[in-house]
Amino acid sequence: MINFSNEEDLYESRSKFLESLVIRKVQGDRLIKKTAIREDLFLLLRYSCYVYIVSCLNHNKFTYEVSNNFDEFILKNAAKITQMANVTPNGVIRPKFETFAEFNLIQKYLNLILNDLGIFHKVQKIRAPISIRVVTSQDDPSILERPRANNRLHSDFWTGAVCDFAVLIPIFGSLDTIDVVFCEPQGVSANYLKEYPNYADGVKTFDSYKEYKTVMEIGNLYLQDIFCLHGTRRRGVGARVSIDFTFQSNDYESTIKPYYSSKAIQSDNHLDVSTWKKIGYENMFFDSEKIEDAENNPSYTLTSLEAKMGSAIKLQTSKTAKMINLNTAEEIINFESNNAV
Amino acid sequence: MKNTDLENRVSRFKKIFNKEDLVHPLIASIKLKSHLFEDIKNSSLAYLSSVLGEGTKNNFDQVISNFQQAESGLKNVTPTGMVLPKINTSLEYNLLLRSYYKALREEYFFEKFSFCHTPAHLRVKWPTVKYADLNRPRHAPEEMHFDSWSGYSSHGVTLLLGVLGDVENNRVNFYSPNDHFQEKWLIKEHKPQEKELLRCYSQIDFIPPEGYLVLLDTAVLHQTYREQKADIRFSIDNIFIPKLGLDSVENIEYGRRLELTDPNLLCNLGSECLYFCDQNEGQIKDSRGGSIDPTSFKFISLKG
Repeated sequence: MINFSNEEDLYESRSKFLESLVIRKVQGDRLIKKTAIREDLFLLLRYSCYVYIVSCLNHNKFTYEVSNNFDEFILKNAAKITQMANVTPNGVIRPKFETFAEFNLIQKYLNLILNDLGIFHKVQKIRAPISIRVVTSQDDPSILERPRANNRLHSDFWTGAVCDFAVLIPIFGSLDTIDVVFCEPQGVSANYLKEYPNYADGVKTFDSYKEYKTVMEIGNLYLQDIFCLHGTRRRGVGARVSIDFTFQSNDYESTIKPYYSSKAIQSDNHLDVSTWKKIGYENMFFDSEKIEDAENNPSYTLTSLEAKMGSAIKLQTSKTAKMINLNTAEEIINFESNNAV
Repeated sequence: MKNTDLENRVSRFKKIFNKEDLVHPLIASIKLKSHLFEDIKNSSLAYLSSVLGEGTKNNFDQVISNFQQAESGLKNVTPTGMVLPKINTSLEYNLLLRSYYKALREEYFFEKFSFCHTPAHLRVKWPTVKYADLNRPRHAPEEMHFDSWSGYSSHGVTLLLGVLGDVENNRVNFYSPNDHFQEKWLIKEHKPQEKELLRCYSQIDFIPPEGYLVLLDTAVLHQTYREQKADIRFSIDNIFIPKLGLDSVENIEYGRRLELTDPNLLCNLGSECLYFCDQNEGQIKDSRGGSIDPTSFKFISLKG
């Protein structure tokens, strides 16, 4: 359990916790750390994200501007990317039937990166699928006003993320205009670790916040503590593609989990490390829903109150998603059952 | 003397390919769409990176030289240069093959084929040949040969595509038959002496430009050829069966017949279907002296 009475000690211990997660040198502020990704592995990750996005555009039957420069490609085609049928209002580019191989390739390269950082020894579970997200300066204002819009400062706890830290990786784009602001809440109460359908209610659980100096830079992986406040920051015209996904560390059960509601825990879509590590090898994340189905029935815009809130973690996984073991060609995980509320 | 078997082959080739694409009565050369050829090159580089188990900094430029440096340590390259997919490279392999079949599907001839031998391979041709590799159970690619000697269909059309590296100096030489050609020579058991072949075949003066697919009738004798200054080369070869048959009896070994697949299906690799290459690095499938493909895989349909 967490001792909220001494905030300094609490954040210092969280800082040490983040530092302990990887075997490489980390830099940053207390609740957000960055570490450089090995250059060759980062190139593979960027390549796989590029191939995935191109494949999504093709299967959406969108024409697009070709460029040999990945960042330029994203900037030129950002508006189209956000309009794809498999993109959620919060910008998550969901894998569908036609694009599952490319998506699993991204998972595979993330696996190599996490392995290189030595993170697997420090965690028990990792969320699948990871979120690959596009954010632009031209996003619909009505999306930005949603109670759980990503541009509002928030802790991942408030979304029922059932994790104790997250990893963020900027992949492409103009981070000088579209990035994430990281902040340290000050004067937090125990109510900070609660789920809130409206981020405005979460903001009432601390007195003030300090904006961190750590900013997103291409080529780095960010370890974001569950206490870290964060939100998408738009400072000009541009676009960004990034990856985010959450973890349950070896400490999660004894420290953070007790604060989550049973409803959130029932919706847990984190997988054991051993299962997660096989994605892209013998396990494949697979969605039977096609892009054309998504065009006709976008589940993330269902008229339920919860979906309209945006960003509920369980809604980030399609109800038609499965994990298949290729050795047996059988489903080993059906995410729909995990989504049961 | 008129050779009806050969005439039949030439006639079929004319019906399959546009006149302007024929560089020889039994060889067509067709430029792939540039962006699709780029996709094949990039997916090949990604595949080779995964085989090496590492990427390269900034861009893929170093992959080819890294591959060359790693030659002696590579466990999954066959003596004929097939870069075999394993469990750790399976996804990249699927995406590579899909980019290949998708590029082919854009061409007019694609619908004129009913089957292709599968799985196709990215093949490496090192700058110099190893003496030990020349002693193959059937034949080395460096010897003049017909692909049917490896059990493939005697009615097939071989597709060759230089993908990466020195495709000009490390290439394939082609030999044209004259009217003394004998259909039975296409069967390994009736393999003629080299002297006899040379009397009936003459070399064709043709070097395929980069980005061009070469399609040759089984009766075209060919061999891997390296200029003295040749560098490493990567290419894809795959044998297709035209819908239009020949008058002669088709010869195809049983194991090879099992390899025949609808190429349309392979355009959907990574969505409707997937090769799951289930061996770990270093594990070797018994290819029964080259009579079956050395890739261990399960072909998984995900349509249901």
